[in-house]
Amino acid sequence: MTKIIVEELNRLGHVTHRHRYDSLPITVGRAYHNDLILSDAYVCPEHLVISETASGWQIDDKSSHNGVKFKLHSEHSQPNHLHSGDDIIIGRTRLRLFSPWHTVPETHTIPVDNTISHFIARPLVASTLIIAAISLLALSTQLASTKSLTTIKLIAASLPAFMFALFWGGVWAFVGRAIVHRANFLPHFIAAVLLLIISLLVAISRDYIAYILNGETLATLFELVLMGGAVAMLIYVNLSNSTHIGRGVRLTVSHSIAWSLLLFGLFMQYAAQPEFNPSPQYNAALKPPFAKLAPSKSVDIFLEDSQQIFNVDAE
Amino acid sequence: MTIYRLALSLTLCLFIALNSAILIAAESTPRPLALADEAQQLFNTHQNSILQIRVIELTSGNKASIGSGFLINNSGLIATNFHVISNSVHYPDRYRLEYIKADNTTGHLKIVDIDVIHDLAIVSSDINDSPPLVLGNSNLSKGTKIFSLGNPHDLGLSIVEGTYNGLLEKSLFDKIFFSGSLNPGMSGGPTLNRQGQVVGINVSTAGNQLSFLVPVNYLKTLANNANEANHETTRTFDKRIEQQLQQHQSLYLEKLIASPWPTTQFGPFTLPGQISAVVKCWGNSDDNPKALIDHTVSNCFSEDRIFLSQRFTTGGFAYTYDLYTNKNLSSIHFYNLYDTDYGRALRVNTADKEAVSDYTCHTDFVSLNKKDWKIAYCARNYIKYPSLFDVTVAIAMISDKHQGLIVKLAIAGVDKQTATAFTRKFIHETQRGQPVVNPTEKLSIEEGP
Repeated sequence: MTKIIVEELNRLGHVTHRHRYDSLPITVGRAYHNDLILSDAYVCPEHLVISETASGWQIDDKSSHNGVKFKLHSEHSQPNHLHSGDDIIIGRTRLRLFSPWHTVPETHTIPVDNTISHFIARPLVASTLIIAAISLLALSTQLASTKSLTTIKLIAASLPAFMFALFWGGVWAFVGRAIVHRANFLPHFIAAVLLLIISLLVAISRDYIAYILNGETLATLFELVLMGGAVAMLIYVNLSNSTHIGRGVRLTVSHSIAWSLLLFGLFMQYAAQPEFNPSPQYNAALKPPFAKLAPSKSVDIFLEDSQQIFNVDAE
Repeated sequence: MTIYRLALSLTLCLFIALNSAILIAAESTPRPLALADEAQQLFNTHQNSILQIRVIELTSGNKASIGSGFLINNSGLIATNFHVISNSVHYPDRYRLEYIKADNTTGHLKIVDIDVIHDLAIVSSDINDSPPLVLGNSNLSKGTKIFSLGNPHDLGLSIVEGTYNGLLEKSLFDKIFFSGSLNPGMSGGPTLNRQGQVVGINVSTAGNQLSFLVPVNYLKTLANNANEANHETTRTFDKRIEQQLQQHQSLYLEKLIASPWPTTQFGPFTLPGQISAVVKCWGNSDDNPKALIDHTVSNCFSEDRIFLSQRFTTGGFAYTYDLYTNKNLSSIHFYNLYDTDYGRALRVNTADKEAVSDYTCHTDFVSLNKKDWKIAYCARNYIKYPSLFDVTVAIAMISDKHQGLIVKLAIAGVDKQTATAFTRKFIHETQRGQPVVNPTEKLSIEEGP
């Protein structure tokens, strides 16, 4: 009957070998007559002996060259007198001792937090979202054109964005196939389509907000927050469907990636700004009369307010 | 450029007329070589009064640019163009001035005074052995033969015959229209009449015998000031340039602000027309039946620029109108197309980051004549001349679902009071431009019981 289980751990704490012994004591060392043979140059040929006592295990250092260290996990343990779960460090090797009755942690449940994925992958929702994205892309193409375009041209114009969504879904399906043995292409693809829809809507509303408030700051903030959230959503869905990562980690990872991407983009945009701009920059959006919510000023008040543009900053 | 083409054809006609006149004269009077002799005589008499001016870059010790100049008094004062010596004015530690005479004697030059508006400068030298040129006057009659001297492309002093063709009428600054070939390097050289008196100073060319001279009167004024200034040796000219620019700009703009402006019919709008003789207006409209909106354009701009440096010009102003008419689009679609050009501000001059700051803008909604407009008003400051700005304004009508009007205005090198006064007047004149009421508006017909 097994009396002790000895695990060899690598430096990351992962088990590399597991040995079970039916009787004690056991000898540990580099020499081949030992019960546990270690191929570690810093371990002596006869390094230590593990023997049984009334309440645990006794470790006897056979006057080794590099000595023995302990990492104790049980509160009853003392150096040389160990219990199940304690570590011995000899040379560059870490050994962990377990009794066969050592309690193991609770079983992890495989996360099935796929509410968004389940929802968007329903055939009705998925097809609605695809049609919505095509219509929105076609609409924005038509709105930017001075000529009326044929339906074929409008649909063709929306293809590049769809190619991106397909590619994105494909990559994640590949990842999912490797990690969770399921491709789950549809939720990945539809999540990318959803991101497309959100970014189009955000871009349009951003313009209107900037126009209505006659300022860029709030509009940019609005755009940043929504786009950050949307990108995080996409990555969250991708991670849920392609990995076994827990919910907390998924949230952390998706938000970290999304916000770092946005910050990186902002930084690049800032860095790419020319040192000198010969053209003036102002909010140049014009919107239909219904969007004019802010009150109009008189010419005199406008010109008075404008005097700030002549304030020469001492640089 | 069309105006130049027009001028060119006019000049051609004039030349043909003149040539035939000369031919007739040659038949009646036996003096076929008289004109050639005249130029020869003028050249021989005055070649020692004309010199080449070299701008020497101090680090390389080589010439960075060349021009011409001529003696105007016995104490060695020399007249030339401001643009010939501008590098030395702006960067006195990097450039110095040198002259080289026809007899190959050289010497240093010092800047005495400048007139950036008319592109003139007076420099002093140690020359005292050459006779100065006599400053005449430029009230000649069209067709008078005049002779331009200078050093084109560093090829040596040469003389060019040409014709006086009056003062440019559509110019902010008086300029003589000289039908003769001026080439780079001749700038700053004199143009003489038959008596050898200076009538103008070579300044610029538009190619094909279209050249321009600064009337000599401006040089006389500057020379008088220079005598009073008593050859100040070292001084920075930034203040002087700023003062000249400001004075000139506020003078002509204030005159414009005070005068009533003619109006023009632009689609259904009545807007400021050609508000000054110096602006040229052009118009065009898209005529594409497939286009979803109609677009009509009108551009008015003054062509005069004041040279300050290679990368920095100022002066002048421009205004443009863009009319957009919705055929049958939704208002969202129409406004999406309407605002494409609104962000492209009108600019009338070139400047780099050494010369000006970035633009600062203020935008807001303004109510004019019961209509709503969006106005963006932007200004950038001149770094060396802090009282001066380039301003640009973009005014867009935003209260109509079917029609859009964008009015843009840009003025270069003005102080803020003049800029704002001019902008105010322009906005108010635009305000008057309310759409004309369509006389064939639908009437509600009352039906009998």
